Amino acid sequence: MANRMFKPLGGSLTQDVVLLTGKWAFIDDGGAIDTTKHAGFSVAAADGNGKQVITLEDTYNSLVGVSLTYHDGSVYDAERATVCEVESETVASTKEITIQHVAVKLAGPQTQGRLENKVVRVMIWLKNSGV
Amino acid sequence: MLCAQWTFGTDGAVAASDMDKEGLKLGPLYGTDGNQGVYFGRHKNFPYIPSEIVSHYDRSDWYNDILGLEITFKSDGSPSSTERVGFETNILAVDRPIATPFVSYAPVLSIQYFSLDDGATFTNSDMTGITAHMVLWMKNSSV
Repeated sequence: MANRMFKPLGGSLTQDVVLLTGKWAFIDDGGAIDTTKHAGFSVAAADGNGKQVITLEDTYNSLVGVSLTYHDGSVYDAERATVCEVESETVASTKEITIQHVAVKLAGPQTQGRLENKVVRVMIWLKNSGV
Repeated sequence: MLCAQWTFGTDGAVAASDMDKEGLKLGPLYGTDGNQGVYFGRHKNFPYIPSEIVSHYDRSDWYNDILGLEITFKSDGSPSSTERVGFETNILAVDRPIATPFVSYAPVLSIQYFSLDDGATFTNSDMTGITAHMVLWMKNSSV
């Protein structure tokens, strides 16, 4: 249970908003990731459709938002430009959030090969109260 | 959390009044490669192009990492293909190397802007008139 470490978020009018943060890097052209720092959740490798499943350690009442920041230290390549959508979420039941990496130029799922060497920083905002 | 708001002027310039934020110093959007430097320091006279090690060493704020970067873009109400903006970071050096603390650079983050239409980099003229509202979430602990 990660709940023991929760600290209240100041400045929110919504009660009991929890922020989980973490990052990972894509280490090869098969969607594999390194296991770097994140607390309160785990994340799987990206599949061939650019999808990744984030599994939370705890259930929450609802998902407030997900924010991804991509870091790419390579020489800029438009085909590697990526944005993200949330495909599905079950934070109140099976504790999963499925995100999909979307290729900007190709207007479709980002390939595992073009994710290689990108670093993803994620902020997951959750509501931890039914009030 | 560090915040800034600015409007890109002609050729990607950032107005002097917008450049110095609490804890941040914004560089202009250079040329055609869509890059903008963001530097970290508490002092209004923090040099965004450091020229002398001691001065920027003293004035810089180092962090462990960034947690996230959010930028909301505001156009003029009639968005065109050159006003749908995406971004990634492409240089990130905000943590002071322990082995060599007197490094010859300031803590810096570089933002790469691109078009959400085709992924092409935004030139400094493409961004003219676009207002950016930036929130940077910093991590200030190694735990």
